[in-house]
Amino acid sequence: MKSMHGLKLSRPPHVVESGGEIVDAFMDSSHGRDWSQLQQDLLCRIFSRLDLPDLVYSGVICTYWHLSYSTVRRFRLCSGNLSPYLVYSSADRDSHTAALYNISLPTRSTTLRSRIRRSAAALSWDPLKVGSSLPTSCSTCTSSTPSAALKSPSRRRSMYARC
Amino acid sequence: MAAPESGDGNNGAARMVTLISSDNTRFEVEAAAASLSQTLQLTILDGGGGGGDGIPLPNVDSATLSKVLEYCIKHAPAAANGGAPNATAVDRAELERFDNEFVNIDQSVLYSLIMAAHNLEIEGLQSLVAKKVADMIKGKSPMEIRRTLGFPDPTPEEQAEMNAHMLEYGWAYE
Repeated sequence: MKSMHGLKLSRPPHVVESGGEIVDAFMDSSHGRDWSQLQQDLLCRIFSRLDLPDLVYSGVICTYWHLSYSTVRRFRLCSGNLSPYLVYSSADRDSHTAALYNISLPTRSTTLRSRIRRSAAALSWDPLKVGSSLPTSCSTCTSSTPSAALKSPSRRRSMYARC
Repeated sequence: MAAPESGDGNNGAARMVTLISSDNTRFEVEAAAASLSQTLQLTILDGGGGGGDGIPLPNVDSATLSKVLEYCIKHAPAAANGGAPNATAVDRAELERFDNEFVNIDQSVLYSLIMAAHNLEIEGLQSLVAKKVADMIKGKSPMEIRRTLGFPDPTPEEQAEMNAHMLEYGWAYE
């Protein structure tokens, strides 16, 4: 049996009649591929597999991608198997900054911050004025245990949230 | 594996259908494999694609279609088993190995593949390619993502816009 992986080198076995050159077709596929113009639903599909830091970074690389980023955030299209984030504020930061911590991404997420803007509907809470009964952005996240966060004296309030 | 012989696939042997790429290359595959595409499935159920007439796919070139069919042929037996509840661990591992190797390809091919999988509505392939692209993005800064995916370097205005976005949404790594 011919290897199916040698497609660039040999004609695949199921081609019965060729109207063009296979090799040329491969070369043709190398131009005109503009990731910045990928359809929004495809971008959303990709973005829904990203963890929050990667999602945020993808959202700023161009205006068009930002639209998809906003869609993923707005409709909470994040994949269900992402690990939850601990959102906390601490005394050494100002009251409008929330820090995010993800136990599965310790090296990256410990340093991800977000300015809390009162105008932003999704994050319009003040972490220092609202108690721990805050609504979480994803109910499945509440299964995490809050004890670790509460033990830390610098974390006055905590909640679990997903992007 | 698809047999290259055409003909009366209706009696005995697995039914074959012919797909015609945008550059007029004809591909003959088992109907079961082509039916992984939701788009093609209805046409095939209606009896299309057999005999002399093929199903034209004006949005998919031959290089991409052969890659798509490679995926379909590999995944058709498992799909026929209804998600393969009785598949052995070895089968599953083999499919996984195939998938990993399958998307280990040039970016331009990956792009064609994501468009083709979308047009043909092949759910498994769409997920596979989306996962691959997501993996390419993971752990990178915005500039690294741009470079990885071959975006042109940002103009000063775009750079300012990127910075403004970061500031506006207030995300920052300390």
